[in-house]
Amino acid sequence: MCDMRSNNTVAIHSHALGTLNYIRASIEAAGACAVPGTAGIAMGAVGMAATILASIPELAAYWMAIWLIAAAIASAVGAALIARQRSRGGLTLYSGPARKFVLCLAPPLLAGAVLTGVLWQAGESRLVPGAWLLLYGCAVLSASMMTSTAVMRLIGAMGTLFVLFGVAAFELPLRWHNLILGLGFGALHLVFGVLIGRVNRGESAEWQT
Amino acid sequence: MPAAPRSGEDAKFDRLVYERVRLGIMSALAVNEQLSFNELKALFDVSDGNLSAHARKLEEAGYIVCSKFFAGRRPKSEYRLTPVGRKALYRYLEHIEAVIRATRRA
Repeated sequence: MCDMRSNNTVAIHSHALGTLNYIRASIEAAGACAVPGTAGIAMGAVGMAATILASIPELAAYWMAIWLIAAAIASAVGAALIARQRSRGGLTLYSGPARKFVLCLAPPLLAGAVLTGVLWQAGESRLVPGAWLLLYGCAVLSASMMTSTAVMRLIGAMGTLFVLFGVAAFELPLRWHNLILGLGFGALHLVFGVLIGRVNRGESAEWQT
Repeated sequence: MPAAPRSGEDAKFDRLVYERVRLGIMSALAVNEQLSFNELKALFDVSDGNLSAHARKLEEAGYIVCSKFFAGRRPKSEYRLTPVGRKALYRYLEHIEAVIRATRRA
């Protein structure tokens, strides 16, 4: 009799825990924005192209314009790839998790845009690469909280590396700035895009089995 | 110690929220202002008919509200959790936590 009661207690307890875990999983899944690895790869390719263009001696004076155009292209491509993934899943483009993801990205990016103008006008454009990398890293770090648990750590690590590159850029001499921008917006995006793609593929294979 | 008799409201609440898909719908809506039919379908990997049936039960209980509209030519349904539904979800969570606390003490 005593054993039976103990077994029932374990069953009720584990059922309640299972229910709590299910609620937690539902909340996590509903609050996460899917980020495709292809978005990172495409943004990285644009970053690499900007690095190469800005390293051409005749174009070196236009480095800021080149990187600003690259940022606009990379943002458009990244947004289009995320939108394509959501629309394939029959999901609304700008609702729920996607909206939160954009809202997390926006404040540091807006601060970066304002700082770029302020630093450029003050003749301190040497500080711009550091500010870009640092604030983009902050944007990625905060937006990582709105992604699925499977890729959250990866995106968080990428954001942290951007922040570190930004701090390093403030200390590096001018001639290294294009390289560190390329390492950040080019190489980091490419590497983490591939890693995120692998994790996403692993996840979808898991769902199918 | 005999179990306390359940009130009518609790019994209704049990039937409605206890079911897995309905509990998932309410949990997902608790952290999102609104979710579309397709978003909910993708989240819980259920058929259209199954999701419709569960959503309708929650709607009838006043736990969620559905707004239907056209986006271009496509009909869309968006769901929101009502204050009554949020209260019911929190009450259910409190029940679960109470069960866990009680069994841990036992």
